[in-house]
Amino acid sequence: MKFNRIHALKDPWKFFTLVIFIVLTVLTVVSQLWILRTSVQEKGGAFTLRTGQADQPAEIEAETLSGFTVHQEAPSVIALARAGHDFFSIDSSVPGQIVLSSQTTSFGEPALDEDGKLTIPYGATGQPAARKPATLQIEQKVFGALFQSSAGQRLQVERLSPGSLRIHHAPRAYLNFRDSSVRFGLGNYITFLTTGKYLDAIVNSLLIALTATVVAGVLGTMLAYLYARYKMPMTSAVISLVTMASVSPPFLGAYAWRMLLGSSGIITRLLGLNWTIMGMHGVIWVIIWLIFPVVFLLSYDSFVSIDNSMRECSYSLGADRRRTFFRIELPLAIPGIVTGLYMALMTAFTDFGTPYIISLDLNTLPVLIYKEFMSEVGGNYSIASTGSVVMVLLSSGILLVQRLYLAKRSYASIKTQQPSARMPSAGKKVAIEILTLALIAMAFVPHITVLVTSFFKWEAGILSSIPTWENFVRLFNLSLNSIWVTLTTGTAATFLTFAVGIGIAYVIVKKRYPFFGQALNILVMIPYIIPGTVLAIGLILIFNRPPLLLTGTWLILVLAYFVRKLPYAVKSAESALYRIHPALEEAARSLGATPAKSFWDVTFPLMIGGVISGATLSFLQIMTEISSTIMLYRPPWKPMTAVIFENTIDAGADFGVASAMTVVLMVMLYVPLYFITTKTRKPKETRIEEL
Amino acid sequence: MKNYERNDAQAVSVTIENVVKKFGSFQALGGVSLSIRSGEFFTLLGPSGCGKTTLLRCTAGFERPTSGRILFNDADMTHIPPWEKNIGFVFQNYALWPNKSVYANIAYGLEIRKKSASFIREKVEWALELLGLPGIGNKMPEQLSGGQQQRVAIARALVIDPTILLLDEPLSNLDAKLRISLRFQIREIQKKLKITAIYVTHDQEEALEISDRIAVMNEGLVLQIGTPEDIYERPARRFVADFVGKANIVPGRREGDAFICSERFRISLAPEDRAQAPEGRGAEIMFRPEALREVGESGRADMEGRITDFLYHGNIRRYMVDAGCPAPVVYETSIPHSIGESLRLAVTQYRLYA
Repeated sequence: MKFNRIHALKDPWKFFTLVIFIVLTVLTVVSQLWILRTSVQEKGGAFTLRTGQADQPAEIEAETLSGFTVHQEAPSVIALARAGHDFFSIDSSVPGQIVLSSQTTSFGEPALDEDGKLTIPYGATGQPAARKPATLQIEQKVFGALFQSSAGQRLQVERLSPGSLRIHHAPRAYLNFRDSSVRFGLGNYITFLTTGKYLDAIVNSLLIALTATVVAGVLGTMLAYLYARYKMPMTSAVISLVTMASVSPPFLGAYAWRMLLGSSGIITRLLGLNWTIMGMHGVIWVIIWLIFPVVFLLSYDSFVSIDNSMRECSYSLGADRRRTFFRIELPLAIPGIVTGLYMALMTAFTDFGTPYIISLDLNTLPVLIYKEFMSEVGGNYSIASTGSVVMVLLSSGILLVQRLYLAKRSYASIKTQQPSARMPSAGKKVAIEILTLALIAMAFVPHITVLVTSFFKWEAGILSSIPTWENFVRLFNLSLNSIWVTLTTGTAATFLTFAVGIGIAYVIVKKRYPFFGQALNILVMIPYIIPGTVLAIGLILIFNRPPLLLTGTWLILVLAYFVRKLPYAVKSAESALYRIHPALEEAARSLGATPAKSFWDVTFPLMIGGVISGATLSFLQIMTEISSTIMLYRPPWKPMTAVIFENTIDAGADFGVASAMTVVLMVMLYVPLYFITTKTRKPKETRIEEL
Repeated sequence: MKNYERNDAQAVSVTIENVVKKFGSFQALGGVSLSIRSGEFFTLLGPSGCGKTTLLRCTAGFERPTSGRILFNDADMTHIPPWEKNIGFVFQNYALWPNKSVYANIAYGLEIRKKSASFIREKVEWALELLGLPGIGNKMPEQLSGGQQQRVAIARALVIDPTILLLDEPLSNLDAKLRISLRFQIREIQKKLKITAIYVTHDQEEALEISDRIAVMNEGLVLQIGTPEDIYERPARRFVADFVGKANIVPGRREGDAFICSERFRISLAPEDRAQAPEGRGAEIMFRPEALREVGESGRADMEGRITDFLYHGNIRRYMVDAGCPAPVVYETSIPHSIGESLRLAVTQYRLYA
């Protein structure tokens, strides 16, 4: 069973494995390596030289200086060094001209283009010229004159010697120097870890994520325990509501709370408050309600799955309820709770929408990366990549902690009897109901706010009390295309993800190819630790040039969603496959079915139920994806999330359309959710005992 | 490699030639050779991990032998995949498809063979009748008891007129009574259809009852092949004796014409057996608990001992007799005795293992 490349073309599974292996390597490994490469690239540097009047010497504008260090050698001589090495010096003792001279660098033949921009190739002295030499570009700007340049004022250059150039310039000119060379080094990391702005982003991200997770963890676990142990009326309704909240768009909370409590928010103006939600406190508050559902759902599952006899045994040995909870129930439920907390922490840490919408100037890592990368005044890919690497390292660290913690606490799966819930006393019941009501209300404030405001007229960013349909009318007139984009990208990505996911799971579980099976198993899990923002940067970096020019297309959105959801698809298909005993397929083969036919006839129908509900959940998450969407989309391929997002951040934005669009999105989310939770037949358990 | 008609229900013989199967560094089969006659009910018997299931799966084609050959009649089937072999395979866990009805489960193999709808209906009915399950075609597997499920699985395997029926511990998940009745039903059907059957089990009682011949396996090797009588009464190896039925295996040595374990345990050997145990060297003697006979004061006894323990089994009584040997000798009889009584016993049949 050697994996043979030539043979691979004959065996369709081997061919599939090989193709997927290559595609995934490009999408995950190569894109991440490209980010790593970009993060260690340092730009050559730039500065602006302000030439003096009459006999005043030239000076470098301090705020424009990057990449170089400067010292004044003489009143009219400025020496520039880079990375600790002397580069060249500028002598401006003669008015109207500067002389560049260097001991270590030799200048090539300068070229002057039509716009008057001077390009000077250079290389280290005594070394052969590189195939594509680095260049120094000098551009002249003259302010104060009515017309910026005239023929007589163009730059002129004389090459005095290999190490020396004389440049004639206009009086009172500003000369922009830009070095095109790219060097590799850890400079970006040093900048990132020593500059206040970047350090703040790291601290803010961690602070927000940890605080929100702790609060949501306490609330979610507490409520979950109460519902697992007490017979409460409407338990299933509460669980359905929390499930609904768990698939809400991640930016919905931020946007709705800002409408209510922002600087010109509904409540703020109504009560004339000085206080607003804008700021770190608001980000934490909103994220608590974003991650509360996942903590509740996972804790609830683990509390419910504890066999009742475990508790009864503890009681029989003399432990009271309190000690039984801390000594038996909590430790048994801990793996599920920790998994929930991990998911919550990751969501909080990588959340882009909330901090961006809620806070105007609060930097978190995803926001910072986005700003650095997308900045209209020449995005800084290198520093954005550095931030991405830092972010991936931090999220890998979080994953590692979770794995190490769980590794010591993995229990054999506990077969459950009917879990028994006690009747709460009347007082307790009321207390639990009040708590439930409060928590559910907070989780649904955004939904209600958006629903209500979508039917009112907005005037200059302020909600009026005039009811209207106009928001929806405008939505259908202007932005119907976005609904189409969301549906098509979502559907295509979901189908692609699950078709490929089932295939990969099949290869991993059944085919067990010596090297490629293992490699594929690792490869599909890589996107699990890549935040959406970082994934988007990786895709842009590798797909922004021919022949793979995909940036700005519909396809790159599909690819991003595909990569993000693949780990979930593979793992759910894998567990479905492990539940199906191999004898079921072997029975078909013994009756004459080929492997392909036995897969289609036996395994596929048995796993499809679970796959459909998994795929639907993925589809819902894709429709609300924001962190990579916002970086990757380009008109006309503008998904709904992007429309909503854009209309929530600008002051003069159309909140009405954003609300109406969100209402449409919620309908698109909750209708499929209703069907998978109530209508789909649960996949029948295979009646096969493990051998 | 289709040199026989698929619908031909004529039984085949199976020849296994020096089959070795390795899983990584673990050797599951260490060179097994067998020949199974056509129409024979052949059992592979052994403890778990002995390689019996691996050998069956190699025969079916689910596993490929590392080396060696497997022939059906004269055709080399070693590397033919299961779906080209026309075999019936019955799994330990039934392996009924839970999403298909009983009818659909049984009809599957015929649908693969593109039989007409009316033929399939008739054939499925025939199979259900054969297994004594008329009228359950519309049920789902989960609605059936374990015994019914396994009979459906057997019907599913038989409906395609396989050239050979392979059964992998088909009864081990069933309760004791059902196991016995189903065992007879399988044997009856096998004889009626005159089909070659290979049956894997770790239950020696089942193997003795059901088989024409048995191969006892251990650690990837066949230790003995023979009829149930051969295996039980003339076990070739100590392992076979111990594994099949109950056996007293007593260590000792030969002194002259007798095998001695203690002063109260002295079995006189037939002349032809003496060569088996060299004088003075350690050896073991094996005899069944029922191969002991009580002798009076005057008769010649092979051992004398006191009853130390007693177990009542209804049809027989089982006594532990201390004859001065390392372990008590087990003696089975219907004669009532009480603990503490002394017995003089003669051995009617024994085997020596050096």
